[in-house]
Amino acid sequence: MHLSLPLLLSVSLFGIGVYGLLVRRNAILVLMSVELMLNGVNVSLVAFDVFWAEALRAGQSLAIFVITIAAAEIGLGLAILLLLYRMRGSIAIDEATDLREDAA
Amino acid sequence: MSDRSLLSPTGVDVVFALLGAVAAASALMVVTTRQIVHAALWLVVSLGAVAGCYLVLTAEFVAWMQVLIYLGAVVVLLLFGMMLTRAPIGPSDDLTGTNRLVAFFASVAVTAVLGVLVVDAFGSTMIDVSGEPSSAAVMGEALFRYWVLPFEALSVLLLSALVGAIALSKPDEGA
Amino acid sequence: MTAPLVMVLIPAVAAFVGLLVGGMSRAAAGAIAVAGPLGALVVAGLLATEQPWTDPIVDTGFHGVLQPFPAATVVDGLAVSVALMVSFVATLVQIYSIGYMKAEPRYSSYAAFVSLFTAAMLAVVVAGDLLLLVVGWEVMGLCSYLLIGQNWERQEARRAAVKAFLVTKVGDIGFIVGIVVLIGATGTTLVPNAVQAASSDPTVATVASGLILLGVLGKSAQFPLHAWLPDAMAGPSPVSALIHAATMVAAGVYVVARFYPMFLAAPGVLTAMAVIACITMLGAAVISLVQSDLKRVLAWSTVSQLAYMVAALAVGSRDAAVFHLLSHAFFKALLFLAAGAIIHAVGSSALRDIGGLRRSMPVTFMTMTIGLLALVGVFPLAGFFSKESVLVAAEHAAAGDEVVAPWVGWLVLVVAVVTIAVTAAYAVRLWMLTWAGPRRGNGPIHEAPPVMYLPLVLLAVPTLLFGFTALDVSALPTWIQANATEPLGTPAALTPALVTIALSVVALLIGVGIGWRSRLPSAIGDGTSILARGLGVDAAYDWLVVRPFLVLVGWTTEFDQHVIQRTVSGVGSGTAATGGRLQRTQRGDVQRYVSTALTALIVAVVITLVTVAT
Repeated sequence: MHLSLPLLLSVSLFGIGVYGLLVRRNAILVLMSVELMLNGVNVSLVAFDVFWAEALRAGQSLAIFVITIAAAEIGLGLAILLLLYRMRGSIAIDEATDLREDAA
Repeated sequence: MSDRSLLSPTGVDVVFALLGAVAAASALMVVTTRQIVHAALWLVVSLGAVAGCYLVLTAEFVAWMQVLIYLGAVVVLLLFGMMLTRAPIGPSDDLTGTNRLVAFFASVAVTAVLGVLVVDAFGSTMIDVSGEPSSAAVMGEALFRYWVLPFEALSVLLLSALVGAIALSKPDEGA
Repeated sequence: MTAPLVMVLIPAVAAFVGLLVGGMSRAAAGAIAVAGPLGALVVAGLLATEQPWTDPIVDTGFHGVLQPFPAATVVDGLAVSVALMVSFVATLVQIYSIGYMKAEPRYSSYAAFVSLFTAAMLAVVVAGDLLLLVVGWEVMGLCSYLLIGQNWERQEARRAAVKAFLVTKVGDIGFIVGIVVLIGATGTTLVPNAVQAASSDPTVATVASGLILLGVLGKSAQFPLHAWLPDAMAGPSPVSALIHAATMVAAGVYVVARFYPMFLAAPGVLTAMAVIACITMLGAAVISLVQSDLKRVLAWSTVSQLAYMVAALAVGSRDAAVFHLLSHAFFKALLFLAAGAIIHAVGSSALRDIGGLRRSMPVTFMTMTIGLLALVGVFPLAGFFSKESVLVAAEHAAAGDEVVAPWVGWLVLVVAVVTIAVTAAYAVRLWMLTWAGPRRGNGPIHEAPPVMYLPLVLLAVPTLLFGFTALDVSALPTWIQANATEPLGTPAALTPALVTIALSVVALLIGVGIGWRSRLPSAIGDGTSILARGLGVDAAYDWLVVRPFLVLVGWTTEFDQHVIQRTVSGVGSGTAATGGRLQRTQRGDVQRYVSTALTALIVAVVITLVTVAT
C-alpha cells in the first residue's frame, strides 16, 4: 500500500480543519474543526507507525494520547463555552473580542 | 513488495482511497454545512471513516478507541453543548464568518504546501499492511511497557481537566 | 637597578598622598609636597655619586608584578644631570610655594599637581622605553593644564590653560605619530635601541625626528607653537618657574638630546630646527622688549632662550644645549621666583605698578639682579658660559665641522649674537623699571618671608657658580656623556672662544645702551601694539585655525540639528505612527489572528523550502 495515501488524507483533513477553524462563527463548530485537525495528525501518526513497524508502537501510542487529550480538550472547551454562553448569551466567536486594543 | 506508482493501485489502496474520500468529503460538509446539528452528524461520518482507515492500516486498537471516544463521547458532548447553548435547529446563515476568502486561501495554502511536501518525500514509498493487526494485546504491551510514565501523566491531565470542567460549569462559582 | 623608578615614584606617591591628606592639614600637605621632590633629589644625588654606573643602563624594572608596564629606564650622564636639576628646582618651588600660596584655598591639590608634574618630568628624563616617555610627556601636558588653570575663577586663567593644552597637543599629535613610526620602523620600544636603529636609516630618521620635532616645538614653545607660553603666565608664579625652567619646556629640548643620534642622521630636520630657532630667538626677544607685564617679559625671554638650546642642538652640539638647559633652568627659575616675590609684595604684575623696590626688598633685589646678569650673559655667571658654548658650537658649524651646512651655522651665529644685544636691552629695561627710580603705586612694601627668599638664595648659588664647570675643558661634556647610551664621538669642549666672547661683549654693550634708553616708566607700552601682542601669531591662529574650526562647528551643529535630530525624532514619530496603524489590527478577532499567523508560517516554510531546495 502507498504511504502517500494516508498522508494525503491526513493533509486534507488538516486543511479542512484549518478552513473550518478560520471560517466558522459558532464556537462549537470551531471545536469540531479542531477535532478534524487532530484527526488529520492522528492519521499520519498511525500511517508512519505502520511504516516503521517497530516494537515501541510510538505512533499508535501517541495517537491514543492525542485522542485522550482531545477528549479532555472538548470537555474543558465546552465548559468554557457554556460559561461564555451564560455570560453573553451567544457563543459567536467573533463577538468575543474583549481583548481587543481600542484605538488610542 | 515492489515500488509502484500511485496510478497502479492494489485492492487495499482502493479500499483506503474510498474510505479516505468519504472521510474528507464528510469533513468538508462539517465545515460548510449551514445546519449546526448536521455538522455534528457529518463529523460522525468523517470520524467513522477515519476509524475505517485505521483498520485498513492494521491499527485495530486505535480504530476502536476512535469509535469509542470520538463517536461515543466527543460527538455526544458536542451535541450536548449545542443543546445547552440553544443552537438553532434548521439552516442558519450566520454560521460562517465574513473572512471566508482569507480562510479559503490560508487553508488551501496549508494543504498545498503539506501535500506537495508529502508527495515529494513519500510519493513512492510503500508500507506493509499484511502483518498482524495491532490488537489491544499488542498496544497494551507497548503502552504499559514503554509508555507507562506518559500514560500516567495523561491520567493526571484527564483528572485535572475533569476537575476544571466541573469548576467552570458550576453556575455560582464559575461565573 | 630600580633607583630611577624610585626617583619617579617618590614625587608621584607624594602627589597622591598629598591629595588624600592635604585636605585635612595644611602643614602636612606642605611637608608632603616638599618631601616628594626632595626625595627625588636625594635619589638623583645618590645616583650621581655612583658614576660610572656599573649596572646595565637599560633596566626592565618591575619584574613580575607589573611586567607589561614599560618601565625600562636609562641612567646616563644626560639623564642624571637633568634629573638633578629638575628635582632641585622642583624642591625649591615647593618650598617657595608654602609661602607664596599661603592664602590659596586649593593649596593641597596645587602642591600635589606640582609633585605629579615633577614626577612626569622625571619619568621623561629617565625613560628608557618609548611608551614610558609618552606617558610622562602626556601627564606633563595634563599637569600644565591643571596648574595654569589653578586660579580658574579668572577667565584669563581658564583660557590660558586650554590654550596651553591645545597648542601643545597639536605638537603632541606629531610627537605620538613620530613615536609610533619609530616603534614600527625599528621594532623595539627601548629608546637606545630604537634610536640606534633609526639613525642608521636616513628615511626613518628624517620622518621620525621630523614628527617628534613637532611635539618638541609644542612643549619647548618654539615658533609657531610658542604662543601658549606667554599666556601660561596666568598660572601662579612658582608654576611659571617650574614650567619655564625645570619641567615642561625642558622636556622638548631633553627629548631631542635623548634622540640626538637620530636627529644627527637627519640634516634636513636639523636645518629646519635651526631656522625655527632663529625666528623664535630673535622674535621672542624683540617682543619681550615691549612687554608691559613683568612675567610676560620673562616668559618671552624663556621662549627666546629655549631657542638658543634648540639652535645648539641644530648646529650639532648636544652638550652645549644641555649646558644651556641646565644653567637657564637655574637662572630662569630664580627670575620667576623673584618675580613672584615682587608680585606677592606689590599685588600686581604690571610694570607700571612696580618700581623703586631696591631698598624695600634687598634679598629679592640681589638675587634677581644675579639672575638678570646671568640671563644677559655677564662673566662669570652661568649664562655667560652656556651661551658662549652655543656660540662656539654655531661657529664650528659655520666652519663646516658639523653635519649641517655652513650657512646654517652662520645664520645661528649671527642671529644669536644679535639676540644677545636684544636680550641685554630687555633685561636692562626690566631691571631699571623694577628696581630703579621712584616708587610707583601705594602702600608699604615688605621683603618676602624667608620661606620664599631662601629658594632665591639657593638658586642664586648655582647661577653664580655653575658656569665654571665649563672652564675645565672636558668636565661637563664628559659628565653628560658618561655611560652614554648613544655613540656621539668624543665630547667637545664647552669653553668659550675668544672670537665669540668679543662678539657677545659688543652685542651686550649695544643692548645695554638700547635698554638704558627705555628705562623710564613712560616707555612702558600699553601692551596693545602688534609687537606686544606677539607679532600677531595669535591673530594668525585665529584666522588659520579658530575661524575655520568655528565654521566647522557651525556645520556640525547644523548637521546635528537638521539631520541627526530629525532622524531621531523621525524614528520616534515613525514608530508611534506605525504602532497606531498596527493597533488597528488588534481587534480581538481570534480567527483573524490565526489566519495571519498561519499565512506567515506558510510563507516562512515556503521560503525555507525554496532556499533549501536551491
